Amino acid sequence: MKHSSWYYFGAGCFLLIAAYILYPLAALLWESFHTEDGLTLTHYQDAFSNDALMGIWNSIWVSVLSTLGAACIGFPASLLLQTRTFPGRKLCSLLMFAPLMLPPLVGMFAFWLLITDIGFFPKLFQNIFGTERPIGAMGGIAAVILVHAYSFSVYFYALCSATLQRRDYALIEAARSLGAGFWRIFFSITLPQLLPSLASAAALTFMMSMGSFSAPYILANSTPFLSVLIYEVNFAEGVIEPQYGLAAALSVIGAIICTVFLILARRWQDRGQARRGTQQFTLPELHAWPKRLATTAACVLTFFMLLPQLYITLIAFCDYPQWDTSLLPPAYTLDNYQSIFNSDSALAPILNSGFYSFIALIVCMLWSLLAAGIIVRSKKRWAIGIDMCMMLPLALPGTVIAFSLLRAFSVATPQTFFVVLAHGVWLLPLAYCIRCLPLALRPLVLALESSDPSHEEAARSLGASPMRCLQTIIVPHMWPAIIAASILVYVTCLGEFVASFMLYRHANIPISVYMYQIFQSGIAKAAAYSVLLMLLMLAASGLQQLLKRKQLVT
Amino acid sequence: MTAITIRGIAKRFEDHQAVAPLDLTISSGSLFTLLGPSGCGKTTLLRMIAGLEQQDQGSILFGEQDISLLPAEHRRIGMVFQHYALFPHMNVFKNVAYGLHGHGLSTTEVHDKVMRALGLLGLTNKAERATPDLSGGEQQRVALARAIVIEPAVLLFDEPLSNLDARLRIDTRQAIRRLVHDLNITSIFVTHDQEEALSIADEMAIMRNGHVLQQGTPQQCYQQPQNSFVGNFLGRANIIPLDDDVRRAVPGVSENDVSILVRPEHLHICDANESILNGALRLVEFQGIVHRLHLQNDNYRLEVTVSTDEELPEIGQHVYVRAAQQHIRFFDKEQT
Repeated sequence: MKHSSWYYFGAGCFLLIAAYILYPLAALLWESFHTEDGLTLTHYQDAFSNDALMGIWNSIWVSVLSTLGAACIGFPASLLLQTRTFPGRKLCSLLMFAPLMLPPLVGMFAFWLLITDIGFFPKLFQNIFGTERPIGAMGGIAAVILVHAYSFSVYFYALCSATLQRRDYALIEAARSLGAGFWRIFFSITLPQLLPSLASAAALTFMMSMGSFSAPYILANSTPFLSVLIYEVNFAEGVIEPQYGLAAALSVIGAIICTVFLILARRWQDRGQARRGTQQFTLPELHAWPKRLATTAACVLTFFMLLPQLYITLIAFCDYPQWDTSLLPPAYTLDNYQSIFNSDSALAPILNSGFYSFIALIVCMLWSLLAAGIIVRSKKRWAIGIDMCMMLPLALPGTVIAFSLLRAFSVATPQTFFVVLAHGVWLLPLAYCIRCLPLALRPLVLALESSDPSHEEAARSLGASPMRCLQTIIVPHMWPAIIAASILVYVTCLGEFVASFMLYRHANIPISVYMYQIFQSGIAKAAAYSVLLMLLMLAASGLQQLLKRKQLVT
Repeated sequence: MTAITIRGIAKRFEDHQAVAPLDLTISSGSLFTLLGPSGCGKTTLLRMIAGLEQQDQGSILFGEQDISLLPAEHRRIGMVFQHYALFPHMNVFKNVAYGLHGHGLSTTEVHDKVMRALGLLGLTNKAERATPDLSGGEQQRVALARAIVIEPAVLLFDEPLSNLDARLRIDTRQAIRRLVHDLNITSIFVTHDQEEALSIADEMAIMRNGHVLQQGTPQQCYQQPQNSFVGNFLGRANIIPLDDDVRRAVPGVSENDVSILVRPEHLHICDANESILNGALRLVEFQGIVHRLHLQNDNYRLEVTVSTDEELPEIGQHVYVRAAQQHIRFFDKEQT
């Protein structure tokens, strides 16, 4: 490709980034420093007073505790399942990814049904101990931390497992040959190798917890949280005068906290000593009772990881009106599903989510493909700027992205072709697209980086035009990554809640918002929607596995 | 057949001058080798000829045609890459047929051409095989078949033998030389292996730090190196600084000379009064048909090859050697 072509593509990509990522964030920053009287710090003063400050503080320490909680589940699980072999290990390893199959809102529903005062466990303890009222019910901040720890433990598990699977086992053998025992090997060899993974997982978990909306909004019993405040000061029932400036200031503060934590984690990550092994190794096998103990521990752990899915599936079949105070529903029915498929209005949210997620998917993939090409192939220094801007939405809470888009496009702008997007249905797919850009970009960049440039050069030396090169060499190589990224993006859009909740219009109400609306009145029907959503995610994941097995996906 | 002329071509990567402005002429139908250590600019030069890298200045002519600004796909080149660059999602046949697309050939013509190319390389029965399933040598031959099937004006080889084992390298380089001469295609072969370069080339250029230090036939470059780097890089060489003792002993030294080069096989053990160089024997290496003797004195080290039939001196014994004057190369300060 001609050198000048990269400048055109780069300029195009920068324009898109400037128009739809940087402009809304800049508008938000401007709004946080601005009132009708001019530049001011009033919004920041408001943000550091009373409820707002409490919200910031709660978000930070809950995120820290959520990170520790997630680490306490995911890290030991990876050590249990990836350092020794025992019966059932492979199945348990796979099922540990169960939280990924749980869209945020569905996970929250499941925990609400399991741990609150009407939940399964408090009722179970009530039955066991014969008390008058359910005991051990959780709510408020403790419940939020539990939901976060469960949902985000998968990051610790996945990243640590990946490192353990490809670690240099020769280091452990060398340490053993030098007389090191189990604990010395753990602290001097294994842990230093896992530090980068732990740091990455901690950064991800902290950012996700800071941005989490559904759990604090529904479970926190009105305890203020940053992500919820951004929504509530503007859109909550009873708000007469929206405080856009305060919400903007809170958004900026949230973004700064996430970025600072990301930088800290990055520094920790750089200190790690992960070294990739070059030889395949077989995990040592446990003997006799340690083997049985490990199998039991893995099964118990996996059961708890699957419990939310299993319980919500059970509730989806329950005859809710007949369910009194008994531990499990006394009667079961298919009515909850029939009511979805027999009613156009009940089916509409599924179709809406399917359609707008598809639109977001197409735009997101085209944009990410363009960016990946520039980042990997242009060899220009400015390409790193594109990479960083495209990854920005990962570091920002969903509420911040949704709010920034809502404010920026509440007026007609050239990038929206002078249409006020906030008044229509198209802001929702735009928000989906922006939120999913990092998810799509990473696999595509990795695929392109792993492709041998000499294949393209060979094709060109054989007379292939740039278009034929793209068609016959680049796309076939990237196809697996394109499929994998598309599935990931589509499934994420389908389950997305925070942007959906802030940006939906009546005409495009998505499945997650509809589930939330009917949850209070019809738990069983909301559970049926949840099961459909989980099945969709399971099908997508199954498709990915199938393609992987046929070596179509790397 | 296409002669290649390179005029003042140069390439810079940020603060590194990969190829300094240089001129080269490669006669049509010849197999030309670019030889040099890693980072000397030989691959960059080859990639500029291929059109895969854009030169900062200078021009490249194929025959009379200036192809400097032509994109790679329009240069009519066939290129064999270091790691073969076979398309992993295509079988052998499709890999070889790839370059024939868009030339208005019928399916039968494409089939015939591909099978002929595969036949030339002894791969007829591998046509349907997936390329990752082939051995290194077979992959290398598929890459060669893919390059020649398009009947290129110029054939380019970027260290194509570096991934093969020693025996296969020798067989393959002989096969390449035969094939290139049979097809009569002007070819450029990049390598850092001097033995490979000497054995395969009709003509060669030795490069260092982006400059061509010497161009000529392998015999000229080996026997008449124009500087100590070329002499030392091609084969084994003794480069001896000219101190007073050596000046006195070596005939034909001029005032400007600062060192001499003499190859181990041109040194012969002799009596002290006939000798030009000497040293105590430190080590003897057995190398099949010869012994290599390592001598050392206070000022220099020497390597001498002697036939295995000859009687060997004892370790530590002082050994005197001489060489015919025509086998001694003299270098002044600039040539060192």
